[in-house]
Amino acid sequence: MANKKESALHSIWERLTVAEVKTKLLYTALFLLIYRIGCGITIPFVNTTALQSMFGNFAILDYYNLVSGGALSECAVFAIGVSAYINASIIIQLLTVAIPRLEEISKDVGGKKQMDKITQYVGCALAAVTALGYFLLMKNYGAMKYSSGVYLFIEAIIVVGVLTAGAQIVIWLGWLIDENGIGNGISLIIFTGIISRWSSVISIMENIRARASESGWWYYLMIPAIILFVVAAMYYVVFVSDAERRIPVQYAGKVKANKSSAGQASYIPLKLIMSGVMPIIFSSTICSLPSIVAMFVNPVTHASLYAALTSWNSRNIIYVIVYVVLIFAFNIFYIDIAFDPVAMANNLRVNGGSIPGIRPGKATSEYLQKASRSLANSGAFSLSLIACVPIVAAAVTGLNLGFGGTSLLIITGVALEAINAINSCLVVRHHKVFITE
Amino acid sequence: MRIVEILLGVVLLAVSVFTCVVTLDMDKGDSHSLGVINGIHQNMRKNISSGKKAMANKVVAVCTAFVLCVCAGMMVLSEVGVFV
Repeated sequence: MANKKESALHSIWERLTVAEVKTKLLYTALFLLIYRIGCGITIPFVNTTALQSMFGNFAILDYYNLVSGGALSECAVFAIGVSAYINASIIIQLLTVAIPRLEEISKDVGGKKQMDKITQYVGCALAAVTALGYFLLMKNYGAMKYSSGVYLFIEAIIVVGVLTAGAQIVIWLGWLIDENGIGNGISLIIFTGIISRWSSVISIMENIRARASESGWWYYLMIPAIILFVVAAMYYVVFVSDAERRIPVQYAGKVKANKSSAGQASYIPLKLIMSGVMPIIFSSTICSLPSIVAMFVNPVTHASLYAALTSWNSRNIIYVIVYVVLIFAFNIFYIDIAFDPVAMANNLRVNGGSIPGIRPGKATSEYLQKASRSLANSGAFSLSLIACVPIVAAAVTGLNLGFGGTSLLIITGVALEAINAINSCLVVRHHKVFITE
Repeated sequence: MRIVEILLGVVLLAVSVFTCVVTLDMDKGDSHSLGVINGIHQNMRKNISSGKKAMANKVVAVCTAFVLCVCAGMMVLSEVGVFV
């Protein structure tokens, strides 16, 4: 057992000390450091003390604050972060199905580049709109320096301009990590943001200490229970992220220049969670719409409306039920859009492949459709469990655990991708060495 | 001091707009960066390292440094009470 552990550690160390991997890791660390610096510098004209009270009132802002790595609550240069770009990519992806012209562009030669360009422009426009909305919210809460006259106008333009540029710079840093670093840049930026928020562990411990002094020493038992819970949740998320259904495929043998080759057996991997964290993000966005409306309602003049809107939160059982139903609906809808069984069946037929026991063509596409639908239901169940267990745990213990299902899925997903990226970097290096020697 | 603050803000705005224009003109690499978020993974990728892109990278790097330095400077000046 000890030898096994030692060899695993040795293998990890060996990978990290390869010059190419080391350089890529250093680049990644440098770009992430620049990102974190930008998350700590507040933009001009903002009163951060007034901002803190605004964040205490609205749960939806906490989610955006999490994705931005805490930059939103400081109104830092990188406060908008990657959220505008992510929203743009989702919108364009959904519109590609709805608008035939966009579908044509995406299928053209060089269409991907054009789609990337459209996403870039839409992302920039969304960042500007988000920045304007955030500016108006800060102004309503008295967090801006100038509140009237020409100075307010100038202040608004500068704040929106700097926040939009900040969002563009974060995307650019993501691309630099893609090209020169390890792993997917934008995912790593979100990962860093989430990890940096885990300093809330200290506030959880303080909360437990305060409750123990009030209710008794047994409250300290919560600490090992929470640690066990987090480890079990991590294990489950890693298991679910890697889980896939393998559909066997048999390729026919070929005869070329009087030489025949035997047929090959392979498989189509269908991931259990095909849609990533998208269904959770969609559902939480829809469920938090009342909170967004509440931000613009005056709590003094419309007290009852404000109370009704703010009572719609994760401590409400109907909220949790609606949340789960939406996760199921979005997961099935999203997989229906993203997964094309007809194209897959055609590709198989063109390449001489077939699923054993299933006729090529329509029967294969129907079989793949059925398999994807059944996986969509199981995947939605797993996603609901990941999303709801932290909510239920927080309700039972009365503690804000400081992490949600989205964070767990993103953290494990990015970590697994980074490991794969290091492995593929090493494989490429071995091939290069093999060819040059 | 208010005029100095506004002037710095306007310079910051000009550099920010320029940064947006340069980044929008750039082409991203072929990898799909949002695999973890939206489930679409693309393993094949290639590095695009044309001269134009290298130049654009340098320009954005300088602009980023400028924006961060000016914002940090203004934040410090506000904290110490110079910009009241």
